[in-house]
Amino acid sequence: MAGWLNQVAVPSKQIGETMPRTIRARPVSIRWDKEKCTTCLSCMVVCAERHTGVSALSRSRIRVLPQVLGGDYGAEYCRQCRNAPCAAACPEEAIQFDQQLRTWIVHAERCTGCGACVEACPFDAIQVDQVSGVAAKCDLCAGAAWCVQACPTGALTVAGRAREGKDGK
Amino acid sequence: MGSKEIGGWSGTLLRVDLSLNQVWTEPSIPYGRQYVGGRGMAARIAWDEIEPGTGPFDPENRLIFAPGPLTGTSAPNSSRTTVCSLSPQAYPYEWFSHSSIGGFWGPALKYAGYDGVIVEGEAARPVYLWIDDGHAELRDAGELWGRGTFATQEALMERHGPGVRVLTIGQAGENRSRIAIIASGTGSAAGQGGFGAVMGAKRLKAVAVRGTQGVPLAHPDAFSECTLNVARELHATMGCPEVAELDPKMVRKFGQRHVACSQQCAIDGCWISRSYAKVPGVLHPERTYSGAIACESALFGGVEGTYYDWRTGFRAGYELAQISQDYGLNHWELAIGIAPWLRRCHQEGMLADLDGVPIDLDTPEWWDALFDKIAFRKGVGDALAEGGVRAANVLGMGEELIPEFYTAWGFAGHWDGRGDKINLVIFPYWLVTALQWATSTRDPLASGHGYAQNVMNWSPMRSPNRGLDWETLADVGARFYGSREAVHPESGYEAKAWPAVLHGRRSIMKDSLTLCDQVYPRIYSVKTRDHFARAENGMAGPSFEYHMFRLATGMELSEDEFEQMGERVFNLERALQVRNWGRCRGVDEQIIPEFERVENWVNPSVGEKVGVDRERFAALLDEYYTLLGWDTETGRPTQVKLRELGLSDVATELARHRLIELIEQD
Repeated sequence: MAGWLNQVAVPSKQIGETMPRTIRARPVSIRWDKEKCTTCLSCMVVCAERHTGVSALSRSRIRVLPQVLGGDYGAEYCRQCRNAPCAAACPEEAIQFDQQLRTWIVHAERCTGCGACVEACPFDAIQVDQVSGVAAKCDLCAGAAWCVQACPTGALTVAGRAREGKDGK
Repeated sequence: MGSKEIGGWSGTLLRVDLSLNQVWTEPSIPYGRQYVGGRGMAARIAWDEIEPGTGPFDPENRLIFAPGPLTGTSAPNSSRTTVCSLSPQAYPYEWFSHSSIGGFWGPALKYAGYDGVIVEGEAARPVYLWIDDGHAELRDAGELWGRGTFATQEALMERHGPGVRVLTIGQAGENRSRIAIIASGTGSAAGQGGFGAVMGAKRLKAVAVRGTQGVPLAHPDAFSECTLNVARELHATMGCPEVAELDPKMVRKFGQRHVACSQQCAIDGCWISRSYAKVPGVLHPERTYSGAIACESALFGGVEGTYYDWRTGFRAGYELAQISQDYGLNHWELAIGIAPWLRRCHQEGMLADLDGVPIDLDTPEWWDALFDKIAFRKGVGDALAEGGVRAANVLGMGEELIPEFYTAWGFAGHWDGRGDKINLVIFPYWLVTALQWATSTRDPLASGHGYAQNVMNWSPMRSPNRGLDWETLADVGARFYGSREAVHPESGYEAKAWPAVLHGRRSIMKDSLTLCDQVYPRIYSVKTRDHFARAENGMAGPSFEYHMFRLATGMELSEDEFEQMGERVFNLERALQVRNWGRCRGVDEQIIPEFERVENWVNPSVGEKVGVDRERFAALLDEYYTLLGWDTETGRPTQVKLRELGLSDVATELARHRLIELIEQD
């Protein structure tokens, strides 16, 4: 495991400031390697527990979708787009880029749960949480990326960290 | 043992009476606080509700599907459902037994709000149970009856949505084959026990679940931290002889990949689980098969260099595994029991062919014909559908060959060094297995995976490159069992009773929490300096279950009290055996002749194959019963032990049946 995983992340604090929706800093995002994935769904359960305190597949911000009877499977997860359609679509400017974490964060107190971001996302990676009624997307757990830590096979990794410069474009 | 926050359990049990066409609920947590969940909870329900004289196909029989308090959470390898009922496969006693199924169904049930489903009665016409987030109803299954397990799942997913998870029987269960499974997906099954036939007798075709809610946790942050620590300890070799690696040729040709056989599996490519995307059929060349394969279903292709060395090849073997899963037949019974037994009958000249089909285990056509005959009870298949042991009896053929394949209670060998000719286990380790067979209701995975498989897989015999040496194993064993002799290869009969007691309880906990039988308890490690399994935060491997349970449920209890919950269930199961089937020491001792036969492999430090010594084994049984707190003469639990475990009412009932004596009045 990379050393950064053990660092204590600094919480986001840019609430209220209007951030540009196309950002210059290279975002940090999760990457999913289909060949390594065993569809164990550990990432989903861990995500829900860490964000909601409840074990539930339905409340995860990453979704691995196995076909029970077929051989195929897919995953829906946030790419932390440079030009984020979810942020652009939000009428409340509730989705903002956190410069420190270099990820797009939903500011819950601004979100009205209108679902415009859900419509806008081309990766089906954001949804309105069924309990809180607020948009929920991957925030990389303020740097901890618990799903990456829980993945038994290394199918999930974090891309875009400074020390992993080689995988950038 | 109080607590403010309660989690882990969903809180509700679903009750179904098929005769009355009724569905209702009751609280689950009173059961959970005493009996954990899963198998433990089922034992209490059986004790309270299944009267002596009830048979597996009677409407009064209960069929219980029960995940546990950890199921659906991030506890690694926790997504199993325990299935309990009177067992049609068990022989000569159709007693209450248990099986377990992985996959996605158990978590879905928890997310739908239920800790278990208890089915009684018998439907007038085929039905299925539809469970949808806190709501349940029985629906007509007329159109599903007669279909295989794949088509049934497809139809129910079409009707209720692709996110629906289904347990179902195939034609074998409908036709009450005693070796019928309850299936889910393409590779998951509650295999042993013949519980598919119980569903068939009740005319319950399937249980379909949509669960989109969640399971609460008493201490969510501490729990998730704990399960991450457990997962990290698991993120490495299990000590299996071969580290699971994909074959690049199989990846290219057939889309081979690692697959978790249960949700939340933290093992990096378990060697027994694989999935394939595109395998062309041999028997049906027009078909392409895809899906999971696990463990014994890989045997249909044959395993070179072993006793099961038939040569149907990978493609046909894979196809055969899919066909038998579709019919809903028990792979283990077919590959370890019936097929090799029929081959021996053929070799001995007792059986010319199988209703005209030549007996040749190298040809897929023979296997295909065998499955077809059993699933539909055609010709000789009518007898074979009863399972190997009953078939020998019905056909009056090859009964003397049965002990070579079947160890006891109607079940084929498993980690016993005799009937099971693929899992390498030597003296003295199978002594523990023998004690477990003695008090079990089926092949006892308690010691099979927890003790014998664990020791052997970490040993230089099974893992010359990635395991531990014998002296190190004994050192680590001393920490868990309290003595080096519990694991040392030169220890003979010494210190073998305690591992059997301990793994008996641990096995029950695995089936009750629920957790994977293969990977818990964590004892040995190649990642710590002293080779004792430990998480990075210092948490001891054998304590993982305890910490996950207390943090999920919020139950404040000591580790000793947690162990005692397993002991409570072990004794309750025994009490049920004693009351309903007259279980006693004499019955337990029926396994001795099987273990008197010499073993299949040689312990290098012994130098020759040995069998059990009757006198020394009798002494070992005395030691075992004493540690269990049971009467050594009768093998029945004592009032003192039952009272200590909070089972005074059980003691009173046993005394009412004049099965035990009450020393003290309550």
